[in-house]
Amino acid sequence: MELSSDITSEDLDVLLQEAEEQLQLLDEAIAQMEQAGNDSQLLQEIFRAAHAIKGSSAMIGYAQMTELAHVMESLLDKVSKGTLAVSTPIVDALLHSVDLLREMKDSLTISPDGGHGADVDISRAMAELQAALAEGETGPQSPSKEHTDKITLSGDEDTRLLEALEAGQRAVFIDVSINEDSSWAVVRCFQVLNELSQIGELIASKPTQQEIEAETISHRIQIVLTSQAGEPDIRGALDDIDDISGIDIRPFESEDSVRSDHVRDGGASGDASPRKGSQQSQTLRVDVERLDYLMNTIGELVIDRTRIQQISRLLESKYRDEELVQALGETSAHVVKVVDELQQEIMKVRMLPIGTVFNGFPRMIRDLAQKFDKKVDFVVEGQDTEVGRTIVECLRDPLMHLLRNSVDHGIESPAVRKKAGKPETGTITLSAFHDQGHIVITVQDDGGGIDPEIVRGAAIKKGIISAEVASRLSDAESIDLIFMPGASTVEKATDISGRGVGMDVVKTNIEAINGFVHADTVVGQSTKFTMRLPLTLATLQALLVSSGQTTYAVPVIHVLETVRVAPEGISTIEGNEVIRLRENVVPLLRLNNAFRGYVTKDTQSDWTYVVVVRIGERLVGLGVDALVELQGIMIKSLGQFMDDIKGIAGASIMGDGRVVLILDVPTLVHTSIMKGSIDLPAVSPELEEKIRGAQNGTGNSQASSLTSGGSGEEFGSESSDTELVLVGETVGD
Amino acid sequence: MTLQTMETEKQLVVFDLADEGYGVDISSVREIIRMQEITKVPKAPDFVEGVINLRGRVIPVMDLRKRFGFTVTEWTKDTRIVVVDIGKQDIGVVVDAVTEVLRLAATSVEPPSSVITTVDSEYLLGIAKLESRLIILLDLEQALSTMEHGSITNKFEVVDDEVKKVPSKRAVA
Repeated sequence: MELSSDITSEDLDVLLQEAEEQLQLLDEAIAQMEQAGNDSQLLQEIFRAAHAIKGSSAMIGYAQMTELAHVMESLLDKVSKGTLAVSTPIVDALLHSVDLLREMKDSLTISPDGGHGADVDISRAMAELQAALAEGETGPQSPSKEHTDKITLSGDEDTRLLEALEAGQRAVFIDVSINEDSSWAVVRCFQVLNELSQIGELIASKPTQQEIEAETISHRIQIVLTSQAGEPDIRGALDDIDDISGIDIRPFESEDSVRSDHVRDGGASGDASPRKGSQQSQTLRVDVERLDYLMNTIGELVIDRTRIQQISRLLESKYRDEELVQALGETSAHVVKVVDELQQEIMKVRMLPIGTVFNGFPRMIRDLAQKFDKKVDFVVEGQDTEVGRTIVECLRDPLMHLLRNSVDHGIESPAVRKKAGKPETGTITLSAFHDQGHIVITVQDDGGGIDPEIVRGAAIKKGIISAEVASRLSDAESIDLIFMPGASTVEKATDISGRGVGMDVVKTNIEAINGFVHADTVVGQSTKFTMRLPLTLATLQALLVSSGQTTYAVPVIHVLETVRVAPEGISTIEGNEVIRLRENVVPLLRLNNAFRGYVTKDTQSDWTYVVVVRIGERLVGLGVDALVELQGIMIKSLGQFMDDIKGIAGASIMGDGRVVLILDVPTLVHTSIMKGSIDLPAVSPELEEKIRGAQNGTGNSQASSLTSGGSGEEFGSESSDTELVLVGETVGD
Repeated sequence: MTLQTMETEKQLVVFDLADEGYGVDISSVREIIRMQEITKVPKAPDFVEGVINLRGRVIPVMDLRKRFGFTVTEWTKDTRIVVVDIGKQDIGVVVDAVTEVLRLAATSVEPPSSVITTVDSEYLLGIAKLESRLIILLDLEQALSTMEHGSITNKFEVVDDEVKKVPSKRAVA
């Protein structure tokens, strides 16, 4: 349908963005409403969102959208007044309406001759809403038809009225009727309010100023005004307005109003207070690209500030007594401080609460549970946890996937649960929290769990692994198979527990943002997916290591610990080097070899430093010449030229201007030793035996410890005992 | 610069490479910098020297001698990195020396086919004949973005129709 012709594409952008936010809020809050019942705060939130959509759709002249939102509003109003109890039909009707609103919103386009929106059939949703409304005591409400002589005052308005009375003002109740055949009713109402606000303070009106702005058509307007002016003055003020058929003015009495219980009801009770308006405009919408630009610019500043600091130190050591040099030192110290603050602030600005992605899930879970005939309690924890915007966006799909799987395959049907002695209603918990500079997100269900035996069997059947390899896998490693590409067909083929649907995609998506995911499960009891992710894509906690003449950055998220190994601590099994790490045999991947063709110094006779990384359930040791330091780094792309080099994720610029390469650890490990199969020599018991035998011949391997302080500190001295000290943090477990 | 002069006059950055003079259009040259520490990138095509930090940006650097299959020589104090803008990305190119900025009439440029040079004619825009010498006009965008050099090709296929005609062969890293 044709919409208002004078909207610009900028208007529409803002409107669409806002509408989407309101719709998300509606989705989430309405789904919660079913459990929360008549929670007045929640209801107010829903009401406001519906109201906002009504307003903005009216602004662009999208009548269907306005109409639907309006009926939703009426229904919600009844619910919040308590005349209507929350019920499943109501929730269904509301959710259905939200879907239609979204459909309409998505259909909005703009062309030079104005806006366009799809003609969406809202009759069914309207009927559902009307039916739900009819359950209440009175029929459907509509401000244009409903004329009671009461006006609703919110707490805020009540206070203002009292204040005005105390200040010696008189309160009057003005009732203005407008010709029924006037097509300018909205304008007239607006004029009335405008004129009256010149001679006194508007306490409340019906319809409210917002409603009028939203073009709610009414041929009658009632106003509570406090003023010094008498009746003739008021009549005089309204005299010039056309189309007015009658004016009734009388002193305001308390029975003219109904005190509203829902305080701060932004729309319905006519809160036109400018004070509130100014509170709402404390936030500002900024184009994300601008923030990104700002962020990059500050990134360059950070590099420069390090350089300035270094130069200033050099100068100080050379010309200690020069006054100017000392002044430079002080200034540079201050610059360092300010730039750091600037960087931290801009990082914070780019953070969003993870709740922005969690919001849609209660609705989704509810729909899915209905679809699969399951009973599910959905618990969300830590939705205020902040994380970078890009990360938030990358998380939506993987989380949706995991949650869908939890409802579909995790939670059993009520009958099965009852039989197993569990409560009929299953629980899915989605939680997020910060941990050591990362965000950890878990999806947990108390469903049937994943049976490693079945996963193994299915994987063999699908030819993902051989029976021989499968027999050597531990249970945890078997569960890890669900993340293998191709495992997605396992479920369809055999119709078993089937937690494999697209799990490889989840894993790929998470790894693409330098995170990882792994699964813990107890058969018959629960399944828990844990994701650990960096807080932002722009920076990275990295362990700098050197190999050959090159320095590499290893993302700390993958690092379990670092050890120092003597030459005799390295054994060779079937041509592959391995080290012993407590009870584990860990394959050793020398970076020099991984990036073969590289001239490097001979490290055979020296200690080898090993960065133990965890990839899925596997431990792999990265052999390097030296550990340099732990540092937060900015991630830069290598550019189109080299962005598909396997094992290199990008580059970063150090304080001294050098470029270091960031390792893409999972890809490096997969392409270098896993070669598409997960058959590593490390896990088989027989190999374990072999290596023990080999080591008994050469004496025990010496894995020595490295100590490290927090981020940024140099590694301390190594002692020669076998104690191991963690560099990053322990992952999972 | 008016349209008129753009058509009749060319401005070139001229550099030496293996004792021959080459020119690239000045509009594609971002800057000319001295040699600096280059971070090697493992598994990159062999003509890629590595990456450098250009005021906070990481840009790849390639050796034109290697790219054109010339003998590789030691870098000297005259060796420069010419940073050029090829399509969407800046790339540094190592050359023996940058000699001058030259203004010449478009009419003095002849199509590449008439002269035999050591560089594949596909990368040439033409030959500029000056009084005492020849200057080879390079199509750097073409030279750096096409052919059997792996990663670079795939990305550009979608960008430039011209490039599409060249069958891409992935390099063995």
